[in-house]
Amino acid sequence: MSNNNMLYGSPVLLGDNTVPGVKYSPELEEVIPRILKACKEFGLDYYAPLIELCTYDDISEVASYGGFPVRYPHWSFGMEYEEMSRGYEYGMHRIYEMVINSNPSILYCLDSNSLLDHVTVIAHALGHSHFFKNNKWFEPTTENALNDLANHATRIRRYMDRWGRERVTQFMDWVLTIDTLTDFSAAWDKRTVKEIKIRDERKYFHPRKMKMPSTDGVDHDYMQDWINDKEWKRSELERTKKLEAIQEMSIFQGKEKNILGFLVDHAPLQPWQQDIIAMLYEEAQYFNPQRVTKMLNEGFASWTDYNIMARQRWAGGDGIYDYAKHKMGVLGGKYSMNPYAVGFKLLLYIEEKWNKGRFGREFDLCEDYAKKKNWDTKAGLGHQKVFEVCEIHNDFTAIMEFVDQEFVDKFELYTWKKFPTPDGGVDYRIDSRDVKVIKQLLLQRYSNGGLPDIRLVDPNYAQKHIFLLEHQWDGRILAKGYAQATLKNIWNIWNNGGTTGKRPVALCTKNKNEEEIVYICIGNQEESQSTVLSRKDFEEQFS
Amino acid sequence: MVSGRIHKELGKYIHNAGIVRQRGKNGKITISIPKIDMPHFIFGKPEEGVGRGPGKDGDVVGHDKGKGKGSNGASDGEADPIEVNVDMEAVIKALGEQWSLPNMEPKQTKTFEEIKIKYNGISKIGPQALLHKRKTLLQTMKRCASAGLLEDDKKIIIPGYSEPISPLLPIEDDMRYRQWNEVKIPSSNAVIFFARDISGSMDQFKCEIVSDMAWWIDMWIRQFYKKTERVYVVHDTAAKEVDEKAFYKLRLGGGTVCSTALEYIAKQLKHRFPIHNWNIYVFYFTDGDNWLDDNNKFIQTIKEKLNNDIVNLIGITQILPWSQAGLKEAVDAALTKGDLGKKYVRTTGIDKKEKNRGNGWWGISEAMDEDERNISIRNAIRELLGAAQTDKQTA
Repeated sequence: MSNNNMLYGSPVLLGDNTVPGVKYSPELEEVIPRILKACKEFGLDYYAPLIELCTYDDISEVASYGGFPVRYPHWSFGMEYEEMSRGYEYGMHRIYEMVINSNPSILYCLDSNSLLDHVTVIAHALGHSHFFKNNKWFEPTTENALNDLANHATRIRRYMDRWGRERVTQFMDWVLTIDTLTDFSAAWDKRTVKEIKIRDERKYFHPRKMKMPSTDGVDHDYMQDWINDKEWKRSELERTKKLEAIQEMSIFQGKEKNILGFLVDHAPLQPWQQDIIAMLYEEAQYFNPQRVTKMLNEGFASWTDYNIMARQRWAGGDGIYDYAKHKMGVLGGKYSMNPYAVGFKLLLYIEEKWNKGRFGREFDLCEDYAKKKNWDTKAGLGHQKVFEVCEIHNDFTAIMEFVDQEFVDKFELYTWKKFPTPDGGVDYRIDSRDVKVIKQLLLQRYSNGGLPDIRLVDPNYAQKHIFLLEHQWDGRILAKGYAQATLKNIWNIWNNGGTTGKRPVALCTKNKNEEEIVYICIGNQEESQSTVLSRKDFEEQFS
Repeated sequence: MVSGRIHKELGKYIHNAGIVRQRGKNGKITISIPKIDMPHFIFGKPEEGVGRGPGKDGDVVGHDKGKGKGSNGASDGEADPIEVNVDMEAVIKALGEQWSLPNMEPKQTKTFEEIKIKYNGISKIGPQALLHKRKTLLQTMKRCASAGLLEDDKKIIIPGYSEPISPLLPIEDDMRYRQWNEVKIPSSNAVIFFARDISGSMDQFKCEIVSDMAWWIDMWIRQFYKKTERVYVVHDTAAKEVDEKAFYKLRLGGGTVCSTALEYIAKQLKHRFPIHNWNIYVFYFTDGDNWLDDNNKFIQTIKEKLNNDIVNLIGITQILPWSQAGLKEAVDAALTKGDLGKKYVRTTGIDKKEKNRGNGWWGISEAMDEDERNISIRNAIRELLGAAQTDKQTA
């Protein structure tokens, strides 16, 4: 093995495959160096893989932990596990592999895979590993996640010993419900300790002056008192004073997307709670890029194993049927819209386009239909382009840039709308095949990782201690029950379970009829659960 | 796997008596609980979306049945239930909390003692392996101190030590060894007699109730004793012992003499389960049907042969009686009169709320629905084991 390792530069480690019960095939060990070499030559630049074979029970356990062997104790993992292992027992689904974003990247393979499945899965996982290593959005994530998460687990266990399991779990329940309320671009921000300023380095703002239009090049100073009148001057002065004050005290300014980050810094918590919320925030930030690049990541991995197995003929003559069957299962049928299928097709489309040189100004401006249809400059840039796309794009930007009418036609995309039927059900009917509509809906689906964009408007709204959130409404409405339950948890964090006061938490959104409504939560007791008010009532009642 | 909120759900589930039909597998009970979702800010059901496939504008590509669910865009997705394997221990623990079952206490008068060996003594002689080093050294120090060997002028200089020290050298007289003793500990054996009537009126439905009740009673009592034996007795006009399977299945026509079962049990206590060695529980299931003069004999048998000094508990369950004056009523009358001790004789009945006896016996069994059945079984078990009575007192 070790001699072969030298060929492709990075060490491969077979994990602990001596666990009793794991089916281990010696052919696999032989084939691994070859498949790694093929991937290296294909252009992949992956973290050193650590391949570990698991029984289904093990892989379910690991998968419910998000791929990491050691995580903090929480009931939600157990529930996930029950669901997953039950699903396998009933033959509903199957996890072929899992790979985690760390260095070395651990690759869990299901031991009951056939040899062909193993090879496919390893190529697929190396694709993921390449993506983790090279994609720009994964740049701020740590390479040492395995240890970090295990350390978090240890710390949380200690807090559980010290403060009681129930209490810590309850606090974690609160935090875990809002782990999606982060800003993934905040990972690039450097968190610094505020320095004490000795010298006066304040930033001064100057009152604005309205300019007078001068048509003839002469300043008409005599108009000053009319245009910049006393009232205006006074209001401007007030505004600048306020800005200065905000700047100096560095208090809240503007809409904040990173709500969890804000709570980490500002919620009135005990030191242990502060530590836990900071850890969970760190973990949320670590998993964030996977949420916003899921489609592209899966697409790239599928594209990789397709290249290795089918184009480079690793599957062989007979194996190609098995490979096709495996692929079919993953991509989910002819007209599937799962992220594997969309990402895979999009990358194939990009590859073909750049192979044939169907890009650039000349192509765009060509108006001859026949010529445009058969456009082929034999540029052969497809391979390079796909790798480039996977380095710089996330789901949203990739769809923004590459989905066009040609793709829509080729991929047979349509939009559907709901129409009620006489029997009380709903029909889904094709509405349009226009790229503009489709693209808008696709972008909506992949913007912000497919979750609502919630911003913090003001932590002290109207000076009434209202923690006001705002949903950036884009035509889609929030699920009511979940929104209220989540709001209650934010209330709990912001008031530390009611021990530090009773500051209401409100969320401003729109309902189906596009009327502004406000979900408001004023306590964590059963009877004072969150209520829904119209915006007008809310303003009247609370300001 | 079960913790936190899942545990709470388990409690709720057990409280509704949804598990009484289960027997468990590999010491685990499967319960189906609604999946608890982590609430997040998510979108409601979409009104429009993107799909793939052939077709013209306006073609139907999908259909949802349902009562106008589609029009209610903001409705939350109802989570599918998941099935969870719960350890028997956790179930029993939750059972104690939710059904508020009391702890079973061994009889105070039981004097049988088991002999166990414990190394808790000290002796001057013994094998080297049992040398008690700490005690030996302590003895040496005592001896040296009393002989004045520890004083400053007696100290000697040993190379390698910065100061002179007084060495401790144990002599043979100082040696102390561990020694074993026989310790008597109270025994904790229990025998549970399950007895039932197998006359023609005990139909399938009633048999299942007996089976469920017996199994859960067994599960509960078993945890308090190291060794639990079960004896299954059936009777028509005469009693006989059967194995567990036959006990739940067996059904014969014929007469009913309830007291024979108790006679049989009393006989067993003489030789097989000597009363000073065993904690004895008796559970008797019937549908109340008995030959007329036998009710008195039944009570008499309890009074004479299975009294307070002999058994821990006698539970009498009357399942769906067809007459107003069954065995339970007779025993109850004796209890109120004071002939029998309320402390150890308990009666309960499983009965329909709405009594429509006009339909005949067979109809009564069929008419009981699943929920009512399970909950009445739960209540019956509570009443038998004594929790319900404490409830009544507090209420």
